Amino acid sequence: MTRELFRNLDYTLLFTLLFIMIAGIVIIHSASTGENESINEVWKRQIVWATFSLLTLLVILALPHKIFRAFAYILYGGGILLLIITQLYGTRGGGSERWLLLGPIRFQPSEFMKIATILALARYLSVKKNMPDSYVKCIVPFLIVAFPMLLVQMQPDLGTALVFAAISLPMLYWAGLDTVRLFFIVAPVLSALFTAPFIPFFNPIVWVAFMFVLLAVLFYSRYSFIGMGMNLGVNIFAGIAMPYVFNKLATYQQKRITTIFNPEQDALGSGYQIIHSKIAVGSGGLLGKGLDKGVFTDLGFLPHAHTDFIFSVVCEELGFLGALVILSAIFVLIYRALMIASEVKSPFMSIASAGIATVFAFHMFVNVGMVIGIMPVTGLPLPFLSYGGSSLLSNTIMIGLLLNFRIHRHEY
Amino acid sequence: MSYRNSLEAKDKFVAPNPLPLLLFAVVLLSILALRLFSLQVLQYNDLLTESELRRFQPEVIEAPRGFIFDRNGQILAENQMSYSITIDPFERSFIETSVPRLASLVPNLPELLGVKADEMVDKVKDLSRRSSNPEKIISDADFHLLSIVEEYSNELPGFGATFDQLRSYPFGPMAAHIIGYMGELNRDEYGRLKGEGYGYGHSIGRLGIEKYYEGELKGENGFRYIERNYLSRRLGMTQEIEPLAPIPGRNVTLTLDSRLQMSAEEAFGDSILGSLVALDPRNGDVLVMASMPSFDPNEFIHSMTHERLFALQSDSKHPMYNRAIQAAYPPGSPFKVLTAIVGLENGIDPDTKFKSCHGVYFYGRPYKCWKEGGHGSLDMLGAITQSCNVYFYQLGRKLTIEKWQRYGDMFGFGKRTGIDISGENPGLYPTLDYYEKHKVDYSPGMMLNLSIGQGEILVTMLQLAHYAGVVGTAGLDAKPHLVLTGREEPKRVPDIAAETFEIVRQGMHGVVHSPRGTAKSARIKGHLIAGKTGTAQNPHGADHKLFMVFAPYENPTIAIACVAENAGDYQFSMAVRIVKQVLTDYFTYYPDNTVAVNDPGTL
Repeated sequence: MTRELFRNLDYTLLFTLLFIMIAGIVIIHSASTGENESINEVWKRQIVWATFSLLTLLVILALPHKIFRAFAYILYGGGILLLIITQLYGTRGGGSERWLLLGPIRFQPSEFMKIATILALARYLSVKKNMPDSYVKCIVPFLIVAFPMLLVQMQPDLGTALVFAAISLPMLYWAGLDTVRLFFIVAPVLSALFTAPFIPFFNPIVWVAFMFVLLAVLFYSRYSFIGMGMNLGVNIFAGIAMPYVFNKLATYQQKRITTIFNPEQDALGSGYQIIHSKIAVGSGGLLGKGLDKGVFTDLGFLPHAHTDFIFSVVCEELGFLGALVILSAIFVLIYRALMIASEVKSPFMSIASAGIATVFAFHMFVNVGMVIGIMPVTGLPLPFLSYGGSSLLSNTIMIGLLLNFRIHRHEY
Repeated sequence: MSYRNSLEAKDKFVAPNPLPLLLFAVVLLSILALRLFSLQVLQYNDLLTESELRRFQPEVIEAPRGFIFDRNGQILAENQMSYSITIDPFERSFIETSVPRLASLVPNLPELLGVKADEMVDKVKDLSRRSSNPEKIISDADFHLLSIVEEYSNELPGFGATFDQLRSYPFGPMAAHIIGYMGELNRDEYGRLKGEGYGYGHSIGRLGIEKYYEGELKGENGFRYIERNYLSRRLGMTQEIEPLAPIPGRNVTLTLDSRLQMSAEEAFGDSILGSLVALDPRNGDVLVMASMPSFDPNEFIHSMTHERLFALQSDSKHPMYNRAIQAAYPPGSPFKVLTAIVGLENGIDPDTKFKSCHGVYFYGRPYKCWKEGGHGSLDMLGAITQSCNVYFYQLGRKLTIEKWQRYGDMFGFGKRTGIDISGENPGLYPTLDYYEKHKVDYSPGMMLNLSIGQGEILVTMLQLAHYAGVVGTAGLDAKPHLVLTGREEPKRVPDIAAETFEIVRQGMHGVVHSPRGTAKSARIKGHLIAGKTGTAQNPHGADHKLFMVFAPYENPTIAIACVAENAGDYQFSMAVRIVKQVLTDYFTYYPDNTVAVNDPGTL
């Protein structure tokens, strides 16, 4: 058993994980030991969390692989319950109820809900009769992600809520949804984005152009007239409803979304972080100012430098090349997850791996995009680098699952 | 749903090709990498500069302001060091303990802070909340206080000292209207001027030379760079950016002679209001410009309060008002000289004797002469010397306003002289256009009043002194100025015959030196002077007394005009007495300009 474990262990994945974890602690140390004395000690806490996470990883490696599938729905149900409890009794942090207190430990149920949702969705889709070969068969999978998504959005945590939406599509694709259907599922979202009043370059003309593409795909799909009409109708509705819904959003959300495209508009308010983050990133240059020499973040000009904006510290202190190394490391995680997804024989393990790959890719793109000013400020952490125990633990658990699946790749 | 069900699916399940998903991840990674490349490589220089700008904040080093000297090199305005005690807002938590400690070392601390002993801590706390910079809590600290703060700095966390340059005017109220004073920028001005080298709390020239020559006196501020953290806390001066040394302001040397200025102001004394302007008619140098009462500009620098400023501004004697250029008076008799010039230029024979003066002249209504019983029959010289109204009424009637009106411009009436301080009143020299514009029906009777300098006509003492100079030098028109470098080549008054000037000059000489002259009391032993007295009617009270002179008679080097407000009730002409005092001192200080004459009285 142990010999098999060592022989089948994905060492690339394991060492990449260790590399990013250590890099994360080093950078958190650099980001937190500056002028703002209230956060000078956080790097030590991150070490404690990392140790605990690695121990958890070992436990997961030792667990029989079938247990994850067996407990998928129980975990999912428990997660939903925790989210409801958080909603009722949670602790505020950053203006929203995201924390649950377990004695001295603050704990973020939404982080673990991601894992539970991936496992539950993978279990559901791995059953042959549930294979999503029609629109109707997509309804239950969407409901599985919709419950946690709504509960997380109520906190409110838009970024994490969107993670749930994001994982569903590649998992459906992995479970057998054909590309034409996938396109028609994504199309209304694109229609809505093209008419969004807050995104530059996107405007109704782009949307009309997109509608022609849609018509071409519809023609290619050979759907019935009713099917074509419904698809077209949904897209037109999405395109028209978007500007209307935007005006109904909470002001802070509107502000977060609008200021990203013109941060200078509100330089002291919501644009402050984006402007300072871009400056910190740009001032790093090709090679960076050197570890612990990132004056801009060290002098505290950048709030949340050790959490959501950790990547701007990477960019300022380690430069473009350092940033590329970190991004590449995360990419290796995504790459290995996809490879494991196509390697394992069990449909459950395969679909779950695809979901895990998506979580990392989504977090990377949204977080780094935010730091460099091309995505809204959503407060999504960067896996393994942003300070935060719940995030670190849940991400390590996901890597643990991948390692476990890889070991048992020949089993069902 | 059961565990076993999946076994049925196991043969069917074939994982799809991961390549599309992998490609999608690569696209996302590329977008991030391209954007990073753009920020960190393409925009590197711009963003680096931007980051330095946020980290290092320039702090202004105020340029030392230029001094103001009088023509003899006396300092009229200078800079003095002033020390202030400050509190650092980042050490606010120590205020509770450090203020009582300082109070134990400095017994009069409550007094210095301007509060009761038990309110000191609150007062210092309030002040410390104003900004993120050390805030002044005691200005103009003396050396004793300064040395205590330095010596006990370990026990007084948060307390520090800074120094500023403060403007100082060693002569106090002397020539305050001309030198001016400094005042702190108000909010509007700060907003308007902050791009031009003015910082928050900086001062700007508010009056006189300080205001007019602000650009020269100010100099160019330097900068040093302070590194700050995100809370704007000062981390200290940086060596990374070279500081820029300030360029000191230029000194300004005035044409004023503080000795004569002093003698004029002393001659006015404490009770008489009025003004005196003395200038050199050869080049326009203003030697004296006194406006009484005056004020102490030093008050504005150190301790000006709203109450005190309001008191100054609402004082019925208007000490802030520069009577020499801002106040315009009806000139009265000195204008008869101009009427005479106009007459001579229009073919009137100076020997002509009009109807003899019986103290009153009838033209529609009676027009009085100032001398009851009249002057009898006079020629032009006699009329100027004795200031006979009746003669000039008849001359004015002959001339008509059409001829008279074009001479005002030549002698500088009704327009600003362009002197280099602001606030000058252009006065008023009425013309037919003026009457038309103000819907006043002109009648020939008005010309009678104008010809003796009454009616609508208004002049400033600066204009009157300039006019005395033009007459004295027989037509030299030098623009009055207060800064030595402001001299311009004097012009000549066009088209006036030398004989004309000679006759009126003789008339003015007679005013002082003839036995029947109206200003015999102005005679100074050993000197020939020429002048013209006047009385300006004042509807609000006693008449104003005026006197204008030029001297020496043969080759004038000084021209003076003086008004003593509400001095009509004095037995002697107060204006003559003041001018005589200044002239006497002038002859003492400038012996080269003196023409010695053995017996001026009989000439």
